[in-house]
Amino acid sequence: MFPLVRYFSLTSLIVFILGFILIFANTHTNDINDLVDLREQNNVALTQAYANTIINDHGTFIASAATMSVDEITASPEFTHLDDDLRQLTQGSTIIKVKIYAPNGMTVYSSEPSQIGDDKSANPGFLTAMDGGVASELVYKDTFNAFEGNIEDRDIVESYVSIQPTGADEIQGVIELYDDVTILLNRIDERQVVLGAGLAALLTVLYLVLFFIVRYAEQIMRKQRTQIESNIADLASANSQLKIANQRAEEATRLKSEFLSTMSHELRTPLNAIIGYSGIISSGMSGTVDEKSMRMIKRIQDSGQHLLMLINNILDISKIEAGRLTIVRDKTYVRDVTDGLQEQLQVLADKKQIAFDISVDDSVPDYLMIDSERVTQIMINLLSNAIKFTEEGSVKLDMKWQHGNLNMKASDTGIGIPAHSLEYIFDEFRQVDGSSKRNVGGTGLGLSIVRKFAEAMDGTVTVESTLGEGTVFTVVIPAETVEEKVAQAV
Amino acid sequence: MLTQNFPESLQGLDVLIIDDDENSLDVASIVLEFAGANVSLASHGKDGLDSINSKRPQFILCDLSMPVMDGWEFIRQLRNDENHRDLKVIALTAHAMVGDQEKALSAGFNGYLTKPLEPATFVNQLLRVLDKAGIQLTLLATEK
Repeated sequence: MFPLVRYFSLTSLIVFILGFILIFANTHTNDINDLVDLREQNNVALTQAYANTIINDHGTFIASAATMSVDEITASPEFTHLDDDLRQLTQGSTIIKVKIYAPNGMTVYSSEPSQIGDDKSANPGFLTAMDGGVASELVYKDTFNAFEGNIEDRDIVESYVSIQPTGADEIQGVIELYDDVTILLNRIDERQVVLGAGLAALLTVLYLVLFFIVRYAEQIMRKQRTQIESNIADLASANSQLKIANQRAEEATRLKSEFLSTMSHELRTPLNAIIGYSGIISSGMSGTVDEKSMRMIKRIQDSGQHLLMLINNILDISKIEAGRLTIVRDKTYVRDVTDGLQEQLQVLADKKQIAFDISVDDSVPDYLMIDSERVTQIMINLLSNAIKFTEEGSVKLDMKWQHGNLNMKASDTGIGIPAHSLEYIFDEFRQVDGSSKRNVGGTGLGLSIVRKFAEAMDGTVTVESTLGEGTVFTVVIPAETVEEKVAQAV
Repeated sequence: MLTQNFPESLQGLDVLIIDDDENSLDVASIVLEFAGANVSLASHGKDGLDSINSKRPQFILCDLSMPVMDGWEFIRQLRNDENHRDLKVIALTAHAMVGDQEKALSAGFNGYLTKPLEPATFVNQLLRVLDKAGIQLTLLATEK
């Protein structure tokens, strides 16, 4: 759960324990060594002090005892005298036992008489002392034969020191002092316990402080990580929600365009019968009809065509709104476009008994790369509007080629558009005359479609009008000639 | 006035019209017969293929959305038919959405006209589409 805390607590615990042991043991060893060194110096000083007494009063005995038997030594009064002196010298000190060796290694005195006569000539401590050095060693004895008799559980520093009175040239023997350091050692141990406890307490406090710092740090880190994770999760969820929304939007667009396609088909099918049959009758293909019926049939035909135009406009604007307006520029024979316009619009102009004329300037190339369907639709919208609003006179389309642009001017001698209306006639669902005076139908979508188509083809549409005199719409569409297109492809 | 609308008549040509909508069939056949064509009718693509096998027309007007076999499948099968793959077929459809024309032409139709058809101008439109597709009526007539 808290990996950092776990790693930290384990490693630091090990480090602290090792550190504790190291410090504790090292301190103890140093104390013991110091103690031995101290006692050794003390013993050397004592020996120095004893040496004059021993050598002055007992030098002769020590020298002669080297050649005497054990019994002769112990039986001699000098031995007893020496023993008395030594006991007196060490009285009140921590020296609990003394041994004296002759220069040849023979034990000539010991407070434990059974040891007298032992040969110490090969003893390393004795040899060190004979060389002028000092050898000391801390030993533990469970029982010890001291001046005072047998004592138990003692820590003793044994020191071999040479006997060399002031002024003497030669070493006259070796004295071994047994220094009881049990009390000192106990004191060291007591101090060690206190030190250990203090050290342990200090380290424990330090450890706990560090532990809580690390734990607190880790808690903060975890909190931050949780925060970050939740932020990431939020982002991911927002992302997936966006994806879903996007998919839904795409699906909605697809459904909409499917719906448009179906609507287009379904609405045109019954119109086919209305426009078809009324057209057959009005054009006389089914024989003659009386004038009254003919007038009614023509009304049906006009209404059918009007309805078709409305449907086309609504479908077009829906396609534009759905972002499905695509421009397809193909090689187009310009004559085909003008012929188609002439054919469709002449009928309307004839009905209103106004002149309709299309003139194409010689400058216009025979073939252009344009979206013929869109261009045709723009001109049908503009020109059928013009015919609709013109009661007498003429409607004209003039086509010119200017600097790589197809310039199409649709002019009429109709009612004109008031100046204040010119700015919004290209807006959707707007008709110039919104009042009840209107006697011509329309969705108000026609001009909006014109502008959107023109803009989609990188073109422009502009209008000039004089009320009561007429209106001129000018559409300018950039187009490539077929030669330019071929040159580009190469 | 009427003769002005049909400067070149379809006199003597055999035409097959395939459409599932009876009104469409009726209107188209009246107009084409008025222009002098001999009209056969079929109500879907399969019907149309049968009709071609019994009597080969000079050209075909074909709807796109139909039950049993639609115009797309009809044109596919016709173009794979060794005997009749060269037949001229004009699509006549209410599918007047952007790109439908390109789709129809690339599927193998020789031309494309949209419904609703306008009786007064339909024959001229048809002649123009046939002309644009490089189909000459005089040649079609001699083929017979």
